[in-house]
Order: sequence, then structure tokens, then C-alpha cells
Amino acid sequence: MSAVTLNNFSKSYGKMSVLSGIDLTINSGEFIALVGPSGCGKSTLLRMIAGLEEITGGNIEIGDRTVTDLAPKDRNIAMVFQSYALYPHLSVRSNMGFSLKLRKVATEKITSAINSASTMLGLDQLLERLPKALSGGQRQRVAMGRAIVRRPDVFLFDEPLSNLDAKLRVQMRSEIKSLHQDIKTTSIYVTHDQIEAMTMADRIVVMNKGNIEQAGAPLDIYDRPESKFVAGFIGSPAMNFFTAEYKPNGSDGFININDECTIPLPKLRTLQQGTVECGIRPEHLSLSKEKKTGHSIKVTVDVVEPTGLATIVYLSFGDQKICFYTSDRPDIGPGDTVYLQLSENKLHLFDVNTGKRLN
Amino acid sequence: MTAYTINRRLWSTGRYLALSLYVLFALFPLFWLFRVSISPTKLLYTEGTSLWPSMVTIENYLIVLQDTSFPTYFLNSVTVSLGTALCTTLIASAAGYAFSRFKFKGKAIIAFLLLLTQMFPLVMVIAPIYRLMQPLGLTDSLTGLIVVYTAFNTPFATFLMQSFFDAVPKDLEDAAMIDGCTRFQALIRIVLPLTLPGMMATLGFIFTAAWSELLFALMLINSESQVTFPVGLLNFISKFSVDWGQMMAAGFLALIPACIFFALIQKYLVTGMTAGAVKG
Amino acid sequence: MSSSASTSGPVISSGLTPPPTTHRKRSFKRLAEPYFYLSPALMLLALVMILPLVVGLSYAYQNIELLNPFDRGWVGFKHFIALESDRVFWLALKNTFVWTFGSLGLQFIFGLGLALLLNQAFYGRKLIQALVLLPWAVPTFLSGLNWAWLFNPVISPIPHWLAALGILNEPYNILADPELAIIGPIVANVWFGIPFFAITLMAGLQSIPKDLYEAAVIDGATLWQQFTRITLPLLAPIIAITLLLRTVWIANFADLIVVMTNGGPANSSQTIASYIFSTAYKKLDFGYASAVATVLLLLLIIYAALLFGMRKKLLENSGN
Repeated sequence: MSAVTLNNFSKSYGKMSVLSGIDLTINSGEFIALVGPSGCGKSTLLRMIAGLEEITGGNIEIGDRTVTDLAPKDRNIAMVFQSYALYPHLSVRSNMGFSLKLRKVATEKITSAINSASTMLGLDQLLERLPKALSGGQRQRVAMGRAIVRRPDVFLFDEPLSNLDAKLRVQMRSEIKSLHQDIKTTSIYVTHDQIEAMTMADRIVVMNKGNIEQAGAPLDIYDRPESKFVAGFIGSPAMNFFTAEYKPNGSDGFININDECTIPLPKLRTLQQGTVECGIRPEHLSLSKEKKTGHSIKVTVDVVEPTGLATIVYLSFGDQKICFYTSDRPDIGPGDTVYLQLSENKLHLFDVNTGKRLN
Repeated sequence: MTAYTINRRLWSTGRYLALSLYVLFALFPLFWLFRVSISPTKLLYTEGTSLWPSMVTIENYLIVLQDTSFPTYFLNSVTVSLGTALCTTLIASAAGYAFSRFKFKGKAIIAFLLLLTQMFPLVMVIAPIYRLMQPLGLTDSLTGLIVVYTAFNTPFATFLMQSFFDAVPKDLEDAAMIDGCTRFQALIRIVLPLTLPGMMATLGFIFTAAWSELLFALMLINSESQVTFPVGLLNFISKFSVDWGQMMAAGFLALIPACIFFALIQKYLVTGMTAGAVKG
Repeated sequence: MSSSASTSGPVISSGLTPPPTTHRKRSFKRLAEPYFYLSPALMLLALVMILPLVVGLSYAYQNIELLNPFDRGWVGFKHFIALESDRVFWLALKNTFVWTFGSLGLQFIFGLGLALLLNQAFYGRKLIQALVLLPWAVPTFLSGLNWAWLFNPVISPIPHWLAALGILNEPYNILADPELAIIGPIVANVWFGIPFFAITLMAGLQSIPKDLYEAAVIDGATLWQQFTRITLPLLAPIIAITLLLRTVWIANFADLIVVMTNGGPANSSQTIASYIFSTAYKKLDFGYASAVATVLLLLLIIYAALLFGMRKKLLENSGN
């Protein structure tokens, strides 16, 4: 087990910068998820850690070794690919034993390593098959097995579940998590699926446009996003955003939404007064048919989506749209006029220009 | 029956009719080659235009195989074609791999140059090649032919091999390199086994191309012992007045290796022709 | 927090400034590797194609007759001036157009027809496909010989059939007729070239999504409308590139003519490509052959330039 440290890690193609100065330490045994929209550089970052992609600047340490200039084979890492990348002409057994064979490990040791990994993953019956004779989930397991057999310093996962169907994905998600709890190898997991990141990782790194937007424990990120980007990216259904006017009021302040609702707030650190971007998660709202005292907003119901487990309601006021999430089954329909209440301590305020958190 | 179903029947009949015409056009020449090759010489003129002779013989084939130099020509052609196919596939595999897997300076220019070599008239270099190869002792030698044919076929084979390498996912190589291979080991252990069928197809394409080549063989080969099959057949016609049966028997024999390789590459015809839209 | 966003001010990480690592050694290997794989091919091409090409171009300005080894040397534009009064050259130029566009047009039309016929599922399709594509596998010299024999009334029924149909007034060998001789190699070329077009166009047809036709049928399009409104426009790019490349290829293709007519009778079926070959091979006059080859090369370059110009114009007009 080893920690991974990236110092000022950067990548550019000619003048186009893909990753600019990433600094990140991944603790020994930690499961870290890199999330972000496609093109944010997360896969490039992973491939640079693997040594598959040339490093333009900075360096990387795995354990106490600087591996910046080492070939992938000398970094003692294992990687699970989105496409699984199983060698089509080799049996499951040979696929899993390939790396050990290259390292000239004794045959008995290889066999026992394969056997223990295949038992762990439930592949015992499939060892002599070729990859083409396996189902998607089985291939995924073989790819995992190939990584485990190595006993590497670090596991790298490149969107390993995105080729599976929804049901299998949920299952494999928990399998990978429990596997990590068993063997505790440092893992770096790239995904664009924020639910995967939330459910599996010890720590999430949210990336955008080649930069780290925020890194932290899943619930910290969910509860206290440092920027509008992170707030909007993490969480499904996504956080609602609308603009409001912030004004100071003595030692405190308040925001004014649509001239009909004022919500008192503690004073902001960096802003005296002006327009702010408000964010609130769909589950931190509540609806009522009558106007309640305090701060409610009059809204119109656009669409009601019952999912069984919960109900998602799309509302609008003025030209702003709002999504509301409840585990109840409210008795409303399209066109109805209702009143919306916001939990004021769940309100996130962001700078309209920089998107940085204000409160 | 509605007009719609009548219409459909007409179309279907029409299609079979049209296809039969195509098949007839494609096969009649080959059929006639065979028909004359098995006709006894004495019947050739009396039954010249009947579709099947009243008597059949393999005498023409026996004469060709026993009393002429065609077996030597045949062997020479096999040597040249196999040699060319092997050399070309080897060289083109390396180049195709570079094109498929690397970004490098001058890639577009080199690809364009390769394409260009397919466009310029090969007859143009026939004289200079003769003059350049003579002092090297490569005229009048099968080795010389192999060198020339290999060069001519390398661009096409490179594009072909590139398309086969492109079909092998890059992830596999990455996985192999993480598993402990150098890039070269990954090529040998993972990529090559997967491109083997493609290499066989390339071998087949180049073999047929080399087997058909006539003009350079005519120009570069003088001595009887080095003559390839196409040249031999052509000489046969100009030297010996007209022994139709024997000529066509020899011609039919020349078809055999071509057909074997045609069968070999059937599956890859589309890949081959689209990769080298410039090549016959 | 053990990480910090790089944009948010000074970085606190390992506390060390990373040493300036040199990636030179590995970078050099990475840069050199592709050329290592390419070098055999490039060297071979340079020596056996590019060098002879350059040397060949220089021959056009020299006297190099193997049969006349004492009369050597630079002669400037003598060969090119001689071309102007060379009747055979001008005839060959005319024949090159007939040969190229005659073969190309027929190959394309019949090839497209075959591709359309084969592009639907029907009983026995695989077998028929293998049979109609067979001519492509026949070595070119054999195609030439085979057709030369087929035009011979002594051993082939074809001239007799043509006479019976009234196309020929008596069964004779058209390859011996200066007026008609060029038709022989064209027929052989079409026979040999249809499979190529059929396969290339079939690949194109298969890349057209089936649901486009289903949508068109539901919209009430007839078969002809489907062909002109969907098939042709979507096939146009592959048709264009195939035609361009094939034109050049056929113009350079001398084998069939050399085998079937040897340019005769009396040079009546000579094309530029076959003329180059016979000048080099029979007269061993390499200087003059190279001058003719230079002209052919120039013509092909002009042709390609014209086509690219037209393509650019078309693209500009269509607003792309």
C-alpha cells in the first residue's frame, strides 16, 4: 500500500493546456473518485498517473518513489479499463496471470494467486473460457481479477462500470466497494457518474476544465459545495439555482427573491450588497397550498413526475424554474398555484461572476 | 393479386435475370478458357464454336507440364510472389503499426507521399529502374523482381495493415504495458496475434498482385531460367505459332494460385479495396 | 484537506518544490520510435520509387538509347520538341482519353448496377456474389490473353455471335481492325474492373442507415425516388473518390493493351502508358520514353488539380 502524490502535475498538447498544475495527495489505502463532466481532464490525469500519457510538467510519487520518468510497467500499478481490455486471444486464466508471467513469477505462485482472486470474484467456473464467451458483468470481474492478482501499489479505474446495464452497475458498485474494504489498496476511480463517486469513495475530487474544483469527503462536498459548478454537478436531481438581491441589514443581511420573499441571513464575508446566485437542493424545499406566514414564494406547477419511491415536481415563478423533490405524494397537478418554502439554513449563495461560494 | 404484389414479383424476376447476365459475363471467358484447354487439337477447328467438344482430353495439360518450361515458370512465379508477399507484409506491418499507433512529425506528409506513389505511372520508372539495377546485378534475377514488387506494393499494404491495427483497441496495449510489457513486447504478445488474420489477408492481396505483374518482369528478365509465368505465357504465344489447347491449359494453370488466394481473402475484400482504392 | 485546488492561491502540498525533471531521455525514445518502424518502408520507397522517378525525369532531357550507346548526353528539350511532330504520340493521347473514360464509365455503371442488385437479401446471394467477383482475382495478363483469344474467330464463338446479331458484317477479329482494336482492351478492362466498383459501392451502400429507406417508404417515395434522393446523395462522396483514383489508375494501366494488341495494329490502340512501355522495352530508347512519361505525369497532375479545384468550388457554393 502506498500513498500517491502529484506535484504541479500538468499536461498540454502544444499550446492547448489540458491539465494545469494539479496538486493532490492520495493517502495510503484511500479510495478516491475523480469526477467531472467529459473533457474535464480526469481520464487524462489517470492515464498520466499510469504512465500511458506523457507528463508535460510536474512530478508524481508513488510510495516513496518518484515515478515521473518510469514506464507504466515499472510503476507497480494496475488498471481496470472502461472497455475491460481483456486480451481476446487469451483465456480468463491467462489474462489474469499475464502480468505475473511477464515478471517470471513461479508457476505455482501464479496459479495460487489466480485461484484466490477467482474465488474472491466468483470466477472459478470460467477460468478456461475466452473473453468473448463471457457476459458483460463477467468480463468486468475478470478485469478486476487481473488487477488484483498483481497486488499492485495502486488500483486505477477508468469508468469501469459505464458499459454495464443499470442493474448490474449498482451491483458491481457495491462489490468493488466491499473488495476495497477487504484488500485496502489505494484506489483512484474515474467516473462521470456522481452517484458512483458519492457511494464508493472515501474522498471525491471534482474536476472541471483541467482544474480541481473541490476535493473532500462525499457528504462534505454535498453539503458544502465550494462553487456553483460543484453544487450543480453533485446531486441528482440537481440543485436549483435562481438569482436574488442581497442587502445588508445592520449586523446581518437578507436576500430578496422576486420582490415577494425575504430571507434573513448572516452577513456575507466578501459581498456588501448586490445580485447573488442562490442554490437550494430539491429536497430542502417544501410546498403548501396556502400562503404560510414567513417567506414563501408563489409558484405554478408545470410537471409532476411520480417515481413511486418519491415525487419530483417541476415548478416555475417568473422566468425561473425550480425542481422539488419529496418522498410524499402531494395532491397537485399541472397548472396549480402553490406556495414554496425554503429552508433558510440550507441555502447556498454563490458569486454571480466567479461562481465561488459566498456564505 | 394486387398491383403491388405483381410489381414485386416483376422486380424479383428482373433481379434474377439481371444477375444471370452478370454471372454469364463474368464466367463465360473462364469457361471458354477451360473448354478449349480440354479440347483435342484435331477437333478445335471443326467444332470451334460449339459450347462443348464431342471429345474431352487432358493431353494439353500433360504436354504443358512435361514438355515445356512452364513448370519452371510456375516455380519462379511462386518464388517471386511468395517472397514479395512475405517481405511486403513484414515491412508494411511495421509501417502500418507506426501509422496506427503514433502521432509524429511529418505523418500527414508521409501518408500523402505513400498515396502519391500509387498515383504516378509505374511505367515511368521502368527505364530508370532497369539502369539503376543493372550495375547491382539485380536485373535478370528473381531477387531484383522481389525488391521492385515489394516497393510497389508497400504503400497499399501499409494502408491495409494500418486498418487492421486500427481495429485492435488501444486499451489492450495500454493494459499490456501496465501489466509489465514494454511497447514492443505489447506489440509482439498482444497486438500481433490479433492482427494475424489481417496479415494473412495482406499476404493474399500482395501474392495475387505479384502473381499478375507482367511489364517489369518483361523488362528486367532475360534468361529463360528466370522467366515468370506471365512472361512465359506471353513468350509462348509469340514464339510458337498457335497451339491453342496448350496455351489455354497453361493459362488455366495460372488461375489456380490466384483462385486459392482469392478464397483466402474473400472475407477481407471490402477492407482491402477501401484501404487501397487505388489498387487493382 | 490533503489537496488544494490549484487555482486557489499558494499551494500547500508536500512542501517541496518538485525538482526540474528532465524527460529528455524518454521523450527521445518516444519521438524516434515511429520512425524506427517506418524506416524500412521509407528507405525502400526512396530507393526503388522516388530515386528512379527523379532519375527518370532527368532522362527526359538526355539521349539514352541502349542500342546506340555512343550517342549519349544532355539534349535539352529535344525529345519534347520531337513529341510535337510524333503522330503516334498524339494518337496515343487521344486513345488514352477513350480508353480511360470508356473503361471507367462502363465499369462504374455496371459496377453500381451490380452493387444495387447484390445489396438486397435473396436466395443464393453468397454464391452469386463469389461468382461475379471472380474476374477480379484473375491475373491481369491472363484476363488480357483470355479476351484476346475470345475475339479470335478461329477458336471463339463471340465474333460469330456478333456477326449473327449484325454488329459485325462478318466474323473477324476486331483486335486486327485499326478502327475497333481499342474496344478489345476496354471490354477486358470492364470485365476485370466491375467487381472492384461493385465491392467498393456495396460497402458504401451498407453504410447507409436502413431506417432512412423505411422513413422514405412511409413518406410514400417510389423506388426511383429512394435511389435519386437517398442512395445517390449519400453515396456521392465514395463515388467521387473512387472515380478520381480509378481514373488515374486506368490511365496508367498498360498491361491489357500490351498483352492484347501491343498497341497495334499500326499503333491504332496505343495509349500513352503502353507507348512509354514499348518505347522503353522494344526500342530501348529510355530518353524519349521518359519524355512521354513526363507528359503523362503532367497530365495527371493537371487532372488532379482541376478536380480539387472543382471540389473546392462546389464546397464553397454549397456553403460548407
